[in-house]
Amino acid sequence: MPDFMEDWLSPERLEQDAVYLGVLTAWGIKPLSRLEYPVRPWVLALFRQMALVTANITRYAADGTRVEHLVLSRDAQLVERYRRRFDGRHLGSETARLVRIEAYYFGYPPCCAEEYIRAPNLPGDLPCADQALLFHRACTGCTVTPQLIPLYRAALAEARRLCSRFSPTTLSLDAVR
Amino acid sequence: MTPEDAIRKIAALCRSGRQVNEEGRTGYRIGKVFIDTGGLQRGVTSCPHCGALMGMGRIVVRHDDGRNVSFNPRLFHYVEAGHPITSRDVNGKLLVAIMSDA
Repeated sequence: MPDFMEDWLSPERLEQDAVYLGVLTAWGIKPLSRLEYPVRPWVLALFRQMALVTANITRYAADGTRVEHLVLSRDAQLVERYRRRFDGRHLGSETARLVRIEAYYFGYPPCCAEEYIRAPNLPGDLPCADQALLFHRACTGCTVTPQLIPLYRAALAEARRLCSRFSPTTLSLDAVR
Repeated sequence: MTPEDAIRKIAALCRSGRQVNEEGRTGYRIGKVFIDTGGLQRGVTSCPHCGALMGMGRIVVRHDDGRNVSFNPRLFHYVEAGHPITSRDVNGKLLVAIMSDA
């Protein structure tokens, strides 16, 4: 695995991403978000403070490995719908139907989902710094994603502020309970 | 060279840490080929084969003669773990052709 990928998958980076997803979801930019890794109790406490509803979802890889996901949303009904659709199911391969369903839940622009289905490896034309803010790949000439960029940038700034304020490395867990 | 060999070669190059910036793009150079790692995006996903976490986004392999091919960085994990790579994942012939001429 290249070094930049290992940094990317570091616990610190994933924890910041979790808080970032929490902010995006709490602000209604994403209807629902999914964490595919465990987070520390202070992050869960932060989600509760943000009035987010969460649910643990169990999935299975093809080799039988059990995978635990956490989904979060402001909408309890949406969480329940997601749970009914995916809990206990295999992860499965990336079909057009799955890409469309996930785009709906995660708030990805439909145009980006459709281009991804047609050509998953197109280079795209969004500046790297903007693409690096996103959890989806912007389609070529996308007119929706540029409107989302300022919101994502503000949410990332808020996530960084929350991490520096509430992370147990800088403050007691009691502060967010 | 197979597509898996080409991806291993790219992973090894990226591991060397000699990151460069060319015309505003961040990546790694090997001879006539530039590995553009500027297309990474946020988030991770679970491998459907084994459940391991994988990164998201796009790696672009550009030859100086204009040929280029892209793939998702999850292929680094697929190759390490011995999972199959399909034609939807990457244009393997083009990847091999470019990396063979690096």
